[in-house]
Amino acid sequence: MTTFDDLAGQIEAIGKILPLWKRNLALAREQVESGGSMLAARFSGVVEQLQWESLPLQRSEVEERMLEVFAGLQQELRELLRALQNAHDVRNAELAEIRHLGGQFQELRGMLSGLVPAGMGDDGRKIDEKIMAIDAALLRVDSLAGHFAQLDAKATQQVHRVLDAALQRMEVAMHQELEAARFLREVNAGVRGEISEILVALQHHDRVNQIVGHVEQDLDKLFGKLQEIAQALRAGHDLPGIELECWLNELECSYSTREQRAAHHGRSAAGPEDSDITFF
Amino acid sequence: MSKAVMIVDDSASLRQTVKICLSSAGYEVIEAVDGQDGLNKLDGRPVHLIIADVNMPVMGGFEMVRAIKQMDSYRFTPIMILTTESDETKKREGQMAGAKAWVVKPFRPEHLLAAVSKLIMP
Repeated sequence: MTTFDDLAGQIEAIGKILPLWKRNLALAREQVESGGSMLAARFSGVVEQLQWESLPLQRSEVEERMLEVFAGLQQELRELLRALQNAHDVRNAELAEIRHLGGQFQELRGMLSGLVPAGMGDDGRKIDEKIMAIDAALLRVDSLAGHFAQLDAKATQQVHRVLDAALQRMEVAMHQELEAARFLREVNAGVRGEISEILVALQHHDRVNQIVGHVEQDLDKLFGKLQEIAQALRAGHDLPGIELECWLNELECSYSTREQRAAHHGRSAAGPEDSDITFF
Repeated sequence: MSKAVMIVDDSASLRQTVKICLSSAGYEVIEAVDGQDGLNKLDGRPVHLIIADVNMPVMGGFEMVRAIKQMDSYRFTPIMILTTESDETKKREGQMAGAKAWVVKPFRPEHLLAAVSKLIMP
């Protein structure tokens, strides 16, 4: 037959298990805490380099300035090409004038040969020589002007080709640079977002600590109560009463999270919302 | 000169998480492990904001806030409560003690930074 002493012995035996549970819970809490700490420390360097606030997604001031400089340079080079084309056009116009002058002279020559009689002797010969000299000079000028106009045309085409190619290369390089910078910004923002999520997740262990802490406190209380009961049984005293309602109320008051309060009443509650902030 | 923020929390990893967020934005962070440690570290140095947990060993957050409000050098320093507690009664208690803001963990780093810069006068 079971005696009060046996009962007290059994209660004390149960009471010896409770501190072990408590120690295990404390150990779990410490390990969660140190794991969280280590993880946070590992991220701190990365986050410092990412500079949480100061990297906007849009182009930087330097990039905008680069674009402006490139646009300005492009405009200036195009103007230079236009100036070269204008110079070439002027030379062509000069050449046309020289050719027109040559034509006029040929007409004059024809008219003179009609006016000067064949037997004018030395004077006629001198006029003829002068006309031929002017004609030869005009032909040389025409030939030189034509030659220079061709050289100009070639040079202008060459400058066009070189500058167009250079501008195209610059444009491609500039766009590649901007694209690379945009990609880096997007990667940076993505990594920041991921780390932000990790930092939020890390904070959940704090809630775990709170919950485990409350269970630990309550285990202490249960341990004390079991000891009281065992002592009363051994001493043959009346058993101490258990104010269950009061105990449960105290336990509920110790909770700090919505989920704990819901769980207390056998309900489930959604997890915490991120960044619930109230200003007073 | 960078602004100094004190974080008072018994959880090392939480202090570290707050430190990561604030340091990356240029704040100097002073750490304290409980309310009493926080009071000891308010030794005349400039502190522009105090962030404190509620439930801590040795001295809790509310007790520390009330003590700070009695200190000539720090009575006007804004205090933010950072806790897992979301109960309205507790929030009112924090407000009565002298806190300026209440943030429930977990927080998003960018939101914490926005709240911090709102509380710290430029």
